[in-house]
Amino acid sequence: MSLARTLATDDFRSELFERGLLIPTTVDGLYGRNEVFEGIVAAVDALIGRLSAADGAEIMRFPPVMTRQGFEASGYFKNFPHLSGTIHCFCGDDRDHRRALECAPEQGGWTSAQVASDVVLTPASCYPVYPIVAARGPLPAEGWLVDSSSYCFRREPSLDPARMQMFRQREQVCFGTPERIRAFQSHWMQRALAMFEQMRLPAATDLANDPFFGRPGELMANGQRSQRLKFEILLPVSDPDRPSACGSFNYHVQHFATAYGIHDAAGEVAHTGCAGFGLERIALALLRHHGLDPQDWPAAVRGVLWPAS
Amino acid sequence: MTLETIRTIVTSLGDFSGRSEVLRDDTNLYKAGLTSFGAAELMVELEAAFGIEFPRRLLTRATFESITAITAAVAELQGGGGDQAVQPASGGTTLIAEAGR
Repeated sequence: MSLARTLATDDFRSELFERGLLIPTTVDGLYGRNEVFEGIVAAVDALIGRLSAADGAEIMRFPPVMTRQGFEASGYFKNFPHLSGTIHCFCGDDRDHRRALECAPEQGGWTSAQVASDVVLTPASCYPVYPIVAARGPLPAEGWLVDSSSYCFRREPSLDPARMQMFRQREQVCFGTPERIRAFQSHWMQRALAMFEQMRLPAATDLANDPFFGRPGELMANGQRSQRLKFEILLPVSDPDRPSACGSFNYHVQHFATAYGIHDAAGEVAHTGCAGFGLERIALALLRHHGLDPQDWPAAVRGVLWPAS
Repeated sequence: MTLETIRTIVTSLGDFSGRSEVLRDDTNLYKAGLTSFGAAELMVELEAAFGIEFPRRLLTRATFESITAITAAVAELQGGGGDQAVQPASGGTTLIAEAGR
């Protein structure tokens, strides 16, 4: 399985625009989706749902916004200030409003009156889950499993259509002992590899790290790698030489459980992990490898994605 | 001086708060509870305290693995004259509870 030809990143995006699969907005990484594209995303989402149906996970679906309190507790701004998106709102009166409208652009313009609100854009669909699970008290003895999904925001404008600023994630979040999290992580990696094989996509797993900010971030990234905490499943999408991560399998050790106060049945700080998929990226990989019209895809691939048809 | 300052910075880390075990100079700090986040915090504090900058090649777990390892790295970055600090007197211990948290 290999790509028929090499395309420049921007060429692939142009093709997607021409076909109307993605709809440009003038901001790189922010796109509308047409019916065909949404149909693929929905099919991939449903496929992941079928794979995990027997796991007994609690379903949680979120709007693309989470509490600022939960965001701050996660330490996200400390580690990823460059990717964060916050929501600032106008909270003034008539006079403040007039002043904001009259404010010169070089002095901030209308945005000069905006103040940080109690909500922020969700950076990953598992983030809203932790404070909710923490608030319920100690975990059951066997741990807990959540199936989460939401639109997510990362401030990284790019010409690469596989690097969107807003995209959907489907993530399984596991709470329990280190053994349970490690087993969960490797189980989902195997499952994902089998899933991509069914979709006839040339997936490969690799050790990975999060894009932590700055020089302290480099140390953290090295630490994450040497502890083998993060794995990704990579697929060639826009650039065959630089495959995109379409799945991510993470062991957080006690980071989130400490940050949010999540305890096991015995009262000890729990361990957590997550297994997430980037739905748009998988849809783009399918379009890139099998062609821009799903009607022309191999029957076996269509059968996996649309089993009833 | 250097060693004492390093001991103080290490024991003041949030990762060791509320713990009372003894940290020896050769104790593996990760095994004692140091997280990647704590190591990053430690790096920033050491740089501020000694006016140094850890180069890329030293941004690894091993650099911050123990008070002894940190002392060696700091001595190297301070350049020359740090030879004594590379091998701190063995048996040095620091009680975390004394770190004044």
